[in-house]
Amino acid sequence: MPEITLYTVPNCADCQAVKRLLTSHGATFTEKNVRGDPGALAEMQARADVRIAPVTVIGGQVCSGPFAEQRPQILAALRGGSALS
Amino acid sequence: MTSSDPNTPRSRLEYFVDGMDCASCVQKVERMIERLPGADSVKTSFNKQTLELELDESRTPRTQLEENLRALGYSPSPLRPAAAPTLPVAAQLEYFVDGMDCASCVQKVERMVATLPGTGDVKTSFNKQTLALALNEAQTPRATLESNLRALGYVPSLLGGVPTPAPAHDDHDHHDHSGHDHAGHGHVHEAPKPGQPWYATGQGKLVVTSGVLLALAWLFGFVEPQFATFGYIAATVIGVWPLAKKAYASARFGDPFSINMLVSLAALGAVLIGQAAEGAVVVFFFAVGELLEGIAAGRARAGIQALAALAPKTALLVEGTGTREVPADALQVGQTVQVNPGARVPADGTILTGTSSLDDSPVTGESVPVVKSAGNIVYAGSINTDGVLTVRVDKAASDNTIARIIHLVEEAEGSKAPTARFIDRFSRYYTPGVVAVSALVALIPPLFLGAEWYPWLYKGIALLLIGCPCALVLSVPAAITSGISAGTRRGLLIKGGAALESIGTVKTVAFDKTGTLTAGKPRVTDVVGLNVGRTEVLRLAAAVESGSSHPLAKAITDAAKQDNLPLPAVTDAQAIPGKAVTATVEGRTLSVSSPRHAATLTALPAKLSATIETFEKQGRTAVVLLDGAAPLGVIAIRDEPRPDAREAIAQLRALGVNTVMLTGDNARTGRAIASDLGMDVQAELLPEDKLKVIADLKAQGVVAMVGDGINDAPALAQSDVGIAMGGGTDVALETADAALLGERVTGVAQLVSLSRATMQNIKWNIAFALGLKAIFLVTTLLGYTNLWMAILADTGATALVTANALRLLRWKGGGPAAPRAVAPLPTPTRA
Repeated sequence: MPEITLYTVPNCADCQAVKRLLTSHGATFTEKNVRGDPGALAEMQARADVRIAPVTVIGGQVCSGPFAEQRPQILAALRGGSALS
Repeated sequence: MTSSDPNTPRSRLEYFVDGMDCASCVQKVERMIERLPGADSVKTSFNKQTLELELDESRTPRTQLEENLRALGYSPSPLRPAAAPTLPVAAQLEYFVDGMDCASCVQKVERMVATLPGTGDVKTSFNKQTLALALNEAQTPRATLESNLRALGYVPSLLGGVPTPAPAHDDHDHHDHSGHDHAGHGHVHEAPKPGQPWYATGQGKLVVTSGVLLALAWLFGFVEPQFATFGYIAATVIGVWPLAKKAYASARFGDPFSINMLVSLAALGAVLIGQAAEGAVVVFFFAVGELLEGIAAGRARAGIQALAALAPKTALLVEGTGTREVPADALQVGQTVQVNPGARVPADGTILTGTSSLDDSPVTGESVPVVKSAGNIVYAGSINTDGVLTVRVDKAASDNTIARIIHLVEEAEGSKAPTARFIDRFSRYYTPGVVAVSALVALIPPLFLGAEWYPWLYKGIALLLIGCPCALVLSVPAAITSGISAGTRRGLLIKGGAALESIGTVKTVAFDKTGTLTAGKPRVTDVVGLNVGRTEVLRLAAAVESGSSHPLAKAITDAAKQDNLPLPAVTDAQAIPGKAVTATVEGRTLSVSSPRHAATLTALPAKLSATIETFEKQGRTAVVLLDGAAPLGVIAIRDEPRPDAREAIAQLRALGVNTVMLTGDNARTGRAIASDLGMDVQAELLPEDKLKVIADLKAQGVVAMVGDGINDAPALAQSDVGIAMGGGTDVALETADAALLGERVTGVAQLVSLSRATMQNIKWNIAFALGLKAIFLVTTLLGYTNLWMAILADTGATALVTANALRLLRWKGGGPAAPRAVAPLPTPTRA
């Protein structure tokens, strides 16, 4: 399983949806709240060049944008992750 | 030593082997390893007392190797972690399991899988007849799982077109499809072809075989009466053979008290005490019962798969100036398709040109067509009733809404309702208990009370049959599957048995106001200027709000657009969520703010305050336009309740459920709308307050929260049951426990009654299953019943449970479908 980091902010529906999606696929992930954590925010910007949560980093792949856009990318990355790296 | 393909992923292992301290020991270890499939490049070091090898763990997990070493009397300790794990930690596998088409079969498979190391996330789908799991192949190679399934009498086929590596040659799976992406075509691989006659299925064959044998034996009895018994013995033994094989396999995998075991014991026991004819009848009736279960599962499955068939197979792709017919599966995101009147929409997308009424019933359960035009979203499977539309494809066929709904429902089958888990546990004790009782009944009276052997052995065998938990095991999943299927066809999507169970027990339903109880399309109703004209107030307010997508902002900018007001340029626009928006317009710092926020900045004139109060009592939202701290005017906005909101609240009240409206609006506006609808209200809530309210309500009982699934996702997650309305958005489908795919508030009441109907159905099923058992238990002990009546009781209970669960498929819910608006915008409120 590749390492997964999820950058979120509180009260964010898309972040919830990404969390549920990852959980339902049995993926373990590290969640970082970027609101009020400049370090995490800087890290998110460095990795994805966006300021808007959610940002999902799976292995080397970065997904950002609304959940509907991320969903297929996340699924593809998870599939890629369940095959051999 | 097995030579293997150099491309196979192999773990490089090195062990210090405690005890391998003599030459013959080393030899012994090497010989053992030679016989291990997938082991290669073995090196033993006399100096270091170590063993080094490469191991293809899809064929032999390292745990197996270590166990073998220990069995030989050595203790291996790994010297280093295997260099780069060359196997997925957990492969996500999904199998179509041919023959696993009854509730007890599913249980059997689950129990077998539970005994395997390295399995997790086991999900069986009643709808798809699949087994999905995460398998750590370092602990259990998939070949082991598959051969265990075969031993139980099932034929697994891996979904996703990946051939399983044959044991003969290595092949690992780069393309390990994890089953989640089969949403769109999971039904395509369905093995028992729809329409396959019952006698061609595995269970059907057993019925035919045992029936024919029984008839032959009976006829044989006329020809050679003195040899009739031999005919029945043959019929019993031949009929019981496949059952006994499966029973033996189950026992090997940790389930000694399978249904097959009970029936085999009873049938063979009957032969041994000289009742071969009854034994043959037992086998036949048992086969009939099993067949009925298969039919039930097939019926519930067909209901969902009918939805999948609604998406058309072909599409008219727009190319240049013409169109070309292409398979709908081949459509790519971003392409344009034309949908003619009377045709079904081939893909989820957005209308580019044209206006038409669309019948969305396949997705939303809503039979009244909805008028949609450019910019609106359409679903694959909807029927375009009148106009010609061009549609931009937004989703590939495998990921469209209808495919996702089918997939979610199939996943829901795999999540067990609490009752189902209870029954599983119960039958785990019940069946061995019955076996123990039947053994006591058969042995104690003859051994200790001097009774005759024959009648008590007979009773003991009859009790074994009464102990078959077939109907009981079927009672919950059959009802849940039917309930979820029935809901889906009415546009009520329920994501799992647990959700279906708890919805019926809710004490309170909390509704978000905007976009749920109301259509979420606020309109400006009044503009009042203070020392400036009405038009000026609207023009400036619209300018301030011009950058905002907030529904209240949209109402104001729409009103300005309607009056053809040219908007001045804006700089420095800033929003304070829930309170105000400020911007610099024509050199002035203006703000549009809630009256409460305005009151903290300045003293509002009494006349203005009175106007605001009047608006709010009428259920309107008022906002104040300020120039710095000087008020310029007030704008009143109203978001009308949905036409069926009142009725929905009344229905819920009739079901004994409390309702409360949660809103960020001010208390007066909230009260006005809530009293129109006849419900309680909690107003002036900031998003985090909603969570507190939900938590307080939870203290009094089960709470459902109904919202759009976007703005109130945290509240939905916090409640016991989150219900998303006007669903269909990815976020809502993912986060809610249930979704109302149509836009009817009455769907909430339908969910409650569907849940209650399902639970009622389950109670009846359990009553049938246990009641019949109880009756036959007593009559058997009193000596009134014989073997074939005992098995008939079980078959009869299975038939009753099946028929009863299928009744749920006809569940219609209550209330007429109200016409509905086109997809609303998710809307936060700002007071």
